Amino acid sequence: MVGNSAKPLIVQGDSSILLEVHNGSFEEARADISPFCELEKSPEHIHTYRISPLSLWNGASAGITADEVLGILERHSRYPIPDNVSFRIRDLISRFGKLKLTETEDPAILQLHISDRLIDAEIAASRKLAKYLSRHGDSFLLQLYDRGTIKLELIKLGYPVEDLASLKEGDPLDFSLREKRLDGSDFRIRDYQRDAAEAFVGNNRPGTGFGTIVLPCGSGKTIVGMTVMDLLKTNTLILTTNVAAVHQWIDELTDKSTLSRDEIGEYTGDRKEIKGVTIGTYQILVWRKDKESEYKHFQLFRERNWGLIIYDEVHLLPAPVFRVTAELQTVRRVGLTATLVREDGAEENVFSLVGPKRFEIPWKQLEAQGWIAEAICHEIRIDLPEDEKIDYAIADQRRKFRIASENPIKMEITSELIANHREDSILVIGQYIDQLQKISKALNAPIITGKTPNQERERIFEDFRQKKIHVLVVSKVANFAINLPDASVAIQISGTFGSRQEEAQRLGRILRPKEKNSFFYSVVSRYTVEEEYAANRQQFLTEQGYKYHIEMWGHDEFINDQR
Amino acid sequence: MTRDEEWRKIILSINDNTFFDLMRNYLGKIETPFNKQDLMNRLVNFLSRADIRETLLALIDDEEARLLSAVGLTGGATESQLRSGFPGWTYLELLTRIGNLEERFLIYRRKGIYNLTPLFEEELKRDYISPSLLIETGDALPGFDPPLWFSDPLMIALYSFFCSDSNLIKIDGTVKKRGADKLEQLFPHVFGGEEGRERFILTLKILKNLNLLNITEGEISLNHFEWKRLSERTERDRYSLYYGAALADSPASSGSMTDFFIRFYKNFPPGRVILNDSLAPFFLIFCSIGPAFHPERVKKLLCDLNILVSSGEGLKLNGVLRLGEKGVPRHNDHPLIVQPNFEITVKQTASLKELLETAGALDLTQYDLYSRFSLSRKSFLRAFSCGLTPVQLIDDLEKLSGKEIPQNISISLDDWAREHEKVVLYKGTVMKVAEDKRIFIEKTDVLTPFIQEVLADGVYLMKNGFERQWMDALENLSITPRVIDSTHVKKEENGSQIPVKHLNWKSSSRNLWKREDERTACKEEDRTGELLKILDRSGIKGDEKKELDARIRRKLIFHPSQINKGIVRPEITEARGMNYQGKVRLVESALQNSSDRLELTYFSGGDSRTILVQPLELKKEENDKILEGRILPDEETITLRVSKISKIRKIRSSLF
Repeated sequence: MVGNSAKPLIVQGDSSILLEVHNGSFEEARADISPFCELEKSPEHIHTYRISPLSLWNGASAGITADEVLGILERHSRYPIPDNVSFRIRDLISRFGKLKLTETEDPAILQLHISDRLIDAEIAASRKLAKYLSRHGDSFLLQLYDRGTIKLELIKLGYPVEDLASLKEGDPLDFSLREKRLDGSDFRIRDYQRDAAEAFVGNNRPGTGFGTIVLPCGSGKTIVGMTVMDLLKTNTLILTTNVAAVHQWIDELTDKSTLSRDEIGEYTGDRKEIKGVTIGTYQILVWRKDKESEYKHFQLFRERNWGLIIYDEVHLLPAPVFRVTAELQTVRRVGLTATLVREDGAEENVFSLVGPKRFEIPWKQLEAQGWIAEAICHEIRIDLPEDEKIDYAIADQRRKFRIASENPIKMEITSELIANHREDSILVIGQYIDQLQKISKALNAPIITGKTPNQERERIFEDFRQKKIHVLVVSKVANFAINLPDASVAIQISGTFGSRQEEAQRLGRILRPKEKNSFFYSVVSRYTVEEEYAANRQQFLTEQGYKYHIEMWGHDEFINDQR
Repeated sequence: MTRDEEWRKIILSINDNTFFDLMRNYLGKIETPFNKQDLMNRLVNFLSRADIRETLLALIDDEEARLLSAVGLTGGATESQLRSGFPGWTYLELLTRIGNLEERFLIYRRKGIYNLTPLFEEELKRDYISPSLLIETGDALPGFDPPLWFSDPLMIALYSFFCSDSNLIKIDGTVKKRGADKLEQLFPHVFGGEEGRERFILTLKILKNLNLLNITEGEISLNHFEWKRLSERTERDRYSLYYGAALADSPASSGSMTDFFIRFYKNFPPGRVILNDSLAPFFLIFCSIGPAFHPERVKKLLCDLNILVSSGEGLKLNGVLRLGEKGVPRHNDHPLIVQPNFEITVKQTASLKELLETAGALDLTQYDLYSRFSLSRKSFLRAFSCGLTPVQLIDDLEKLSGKEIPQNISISLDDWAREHEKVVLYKGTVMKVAEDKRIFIEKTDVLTPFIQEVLADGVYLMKNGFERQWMDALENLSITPRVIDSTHVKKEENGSQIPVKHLNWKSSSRNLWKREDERTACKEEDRTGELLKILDRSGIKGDEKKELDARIRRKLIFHPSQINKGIVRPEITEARGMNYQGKVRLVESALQNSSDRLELTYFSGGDSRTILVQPLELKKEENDKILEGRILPDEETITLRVSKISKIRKIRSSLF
């Protein structure tokens, strides 16, 4: 088939779109397709987008028509658009607006209008929906708290709901972002942060006010959340992954907003404060006495008239919180994440219950603009010690992974790497506490694990920030939401099998912009299953355009300084 | 021998009854003594008269001109070829028309092939023969043509796929559920759904017909050598072979169907559509079809392959298919993209020639306009075991992508290879030589080119693919080895070549798409009327008059001088019931005349059945005679006792 190679898009039969990065029309095409496509991966030469039902309905909700979508694709496409793709685009977009959700006189009841008889019949016949919907003339009535569940089920059936029922206005909050930080330095919201916040708020028109924002680690997702708070000025509940992250939010808010520490509530294992802005952890929310008991902390959602809920690291949202989120569909809610990759495949639930992706920006784009640090990734492969090779050979798969992960030579390699980065702040990250404790001892570096008391944890973090210590050993508790502004080297000595998300989050610990490059080392046992897992772990980042430099190290080899 | 002499010889050699019937028809009553050569000369003189020629040719109607065009434009056609070219006519109708042109000396038959009679060939070609009489064409409508789903990119994906998965087919040849799921997942737009499964079956047929794979008890194995040979052909040859193999019923007919496809492609009128009914004669005239040709089936396959696509009222050649002398025009860009996440994207412009070896080292992720593959340890080691080195693969990937490949990939390939090489399984032939014989191996160069590796003292691993050569070399050294395992013989047999004829691309270059001026309308009806009046006035009566009447209408008698009493030989054409001898005589007489057919009525399973038969032989068996023949038009053979036939009718469509 002869195509026009001057055009950068290749529309595939499976509704994915390949976009050639080195083509002269790359930027224009990317801007044109963004409103109705999702970026799936953006490695070096060719980016992959996908035209999904949700992405098309997002586009449709912003007013784009099927003709416009096809017109854009035809304008940029190297080959004719496959017939099945054109048909699918028209079909999916035509479904948008056929189902509308409106308010009724009773604030606890919503009304579902369906303009298509066949769809009406299909929905009426659905057993799953029957318990939520009651027939009311040509439409259906439903309880306000079933709003999320109904929308989720209808999306599963292939029908998006145009949610025209207004969202609840929470109690007002006196909140503004400051122009100067506490230390007197200038504070300015970056353009992409403002764009992300505005894409979410959407002038408060129907169909906006719920969604997910995907930004790379270190790009300032907290600032985006705060900008949303500034735009809405309403009581806000912030949910995040752990206590350290709660404290980080508190620090950020007191540093960059008009809120004082007293005006911020902390809802954790240690403290149960509820204020106009409250920050809690997912763990405390899903805590219960036993499996039969209720989640008593879910009450937090109803303690105040929240006007906004921020789900930090939304990709980690636990399943029970999904359920309560389904009941909170009247509240504005935003999910923040860098890696919307769930190994349990629950990305759809995030989109349905928290809201669709409203904004995303590729990692390498921010790196090119200098908003995140340039990270140089190395995979260092080392042999297993001779005396472990037999044990490894006869072990089962799980044990093999453990032996490979805890390869004692990793200790020597880590020491060599540290010696080579004397001026840097270094995180040594691992999976197994025994291994980390040994390394901590050998390096004479403090260690933070899940059992480290919060106070001690804070103290160590502070020492690290103050550069009193330059090496910190951390378990997987440091995977998320820990603000270590000066860490510029991460040495990963073991991890959770092939977790792509963990790898990306760990890299994220060193992406805050700084004057020099960051280094990410992953130490892997050569000729073991760890190599395969490492390849899988690296997938997300390589799809974001990162390159891993693989080196084979023996006992007597020295590090080549890559700086 | 000139064609004129050949024609004369054929006429002179036909059986006497037919010969004299013909002579009497054209020359009138024949007086004894006669001389066949003399009669032949008189016939030629008669047919050469200007007025006779003019009348005889003027009587050719449109349908006859179509049939003559088919004979003339093919340069000689068999009965079965003509039958496939005129599917709208019944078999008997076709036979009648052919026979009539034969008895009018417009065509003649030599070894089963009909040709134009040299006597009239020049005028026929000049004034009557035209492709436009047979093939109706129209303008093709503008618009996008669908992609050709069977293409080099698909072959690249299939090669990679079959290298990694050979367990898709059940023993009965159908696709396993697991296989169907996998095909749907990896080739969703080609092999997905019901239509996709049919395409996959067709694909397997193509690959089998090209000897690219074998299926033994459901297990698919690739003939890598044949893939390599195929990949080394020009793009034009490869695509012709693909489509030829798709049209062929077996590997044996693959070569002839490739030739067919090439003629079809080269002669299809550019920018035109061929109307549906005209496709069969188009195949006949331009594609040199074989005896078992089914135009409808071929048309369906060409449509299934998207080679023929609907356009307005007809079918046009898919514009995507470009098989020019220089091949498909290529972009300057590189056919694949290698990304650091071990993903390889293969573009639509990729050719099998460039990518075959590389594809063997990749796993298919999804086949699409741009196909996605992944490079993994497993996929690489598969190719490495077949001899692909990391250096070769890296070179190929860099050449094909136009870029240096990411360091993590190149170092991984080296590392995988190094680790993999630590334990080696040799598959092949090992020659173990006793100490006293080693001198012949080591001190002569005769066997050196065929030794891949010396595994130990006197133990040699022989190169695959050169079995015959090393066996010959050993013979020359007067060494006859004891063969403990004879697998090398089997391998040699498997390595047979693709049975493809040499492709002469310049042989069919007819392009006669201009409709000739309409010929002057023949005053046939007037002429027939006048002749019938003369017959009425001639005083000829009864069966003789009926026969002459029929000959006038068949245009066998076209000049008043041919209407003579006594030129018709009375003949019995039907025998039934107890008239056993009459039935036998009818069969015997039909056997003498190759154009005679028999309509037989007999009882089978209590029902009366009537069939049309071409008689082949009449054998005696005890007190009965056995008729062997071919049922028409299907040509199934049949054997019947004459005593069991209730009615025999001789169908004589011409004097021949």
